[in-house]
Amino acid sequence: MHNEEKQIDDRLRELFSELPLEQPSDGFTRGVLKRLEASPSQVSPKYVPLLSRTGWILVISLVTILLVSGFLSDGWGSYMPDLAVSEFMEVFSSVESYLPQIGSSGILVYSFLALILSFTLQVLWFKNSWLKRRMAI
Amino acid sequence: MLLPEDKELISRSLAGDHVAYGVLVDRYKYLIFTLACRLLKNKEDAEEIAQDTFVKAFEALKTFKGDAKFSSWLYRIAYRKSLDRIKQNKRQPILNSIEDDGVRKLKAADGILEAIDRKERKELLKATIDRLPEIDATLVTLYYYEQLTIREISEIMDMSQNAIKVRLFRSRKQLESLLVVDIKTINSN
Repeated sequence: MHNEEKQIDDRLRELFSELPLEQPSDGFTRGVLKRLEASPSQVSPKYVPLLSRTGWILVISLVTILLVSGFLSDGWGSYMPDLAVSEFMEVFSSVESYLPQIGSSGILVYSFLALILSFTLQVLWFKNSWLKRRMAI
Repeated sequence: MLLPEDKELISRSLAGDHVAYGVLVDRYKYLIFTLACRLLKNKEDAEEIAQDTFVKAFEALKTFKGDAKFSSWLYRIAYRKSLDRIKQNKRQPILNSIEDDGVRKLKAADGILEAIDRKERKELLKATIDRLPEIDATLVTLYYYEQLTIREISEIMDMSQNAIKVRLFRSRKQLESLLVVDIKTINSN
């Protein structure tokens, strides 16, 4: 900085030092605190996924296993353990006349059972999770 | 660096202590309000923006790392909020600049400036700052009034240090020129 500029700089600094700060209204701080108290929550709600990473891995694995099994299976009992489903199959076969192709694959029955089980678990899980969130709010 | 007296109040504010935050607001409200006044050139808008700044700062307090002064962090928020308000009001930035060949040196008019009453001198300086473009008015306020360093100003205004230096040089010239013109006007009356 040149000498002349330095002098002007110093002079301006001196002049500015004479200036008082601007005064906000008397209720300024009270207004800020009022707004803070009025805000519903200081902490923004944290995003919590319904299914954790592990949960997703398990679901994807299960679905993949079922799909691969379905494609590779050449008939009833080739991959799955032989469960006592004969009674179920009897009931199931009564609708066979309407939907003859359904009763032909055991995999389909397992998939159907898995779907019902998964749906029931999801309903219970979702309800539980919803209640927890509401309590947190 | 973060002042020790601020550190304690910030910790308490983070724990939800509004009274502690109120002390911080009281401590910095004048600085923030002054900066907002320089940028917005309107006291009502400036008060609203200054309050918004403190509300926003409280909400974002946990992101304040403490590696800079708390006042610098507040200035940064206030500066951005003020710029947003200017854009929102669709106000055209004041771009008038005074040509260098018309600039007369403040030094020459210094004797007259000394002769002016102190109160009048303050009013004159305030009016002159208000005639500067928003960014320049902020720049000279932060540099001459708040006595911040070029580095601190560059962080607040999100500009390079070189850009701040160039702009400050021009702002100083402009301020000097406007002051000289005003002094001459007073002197001729």
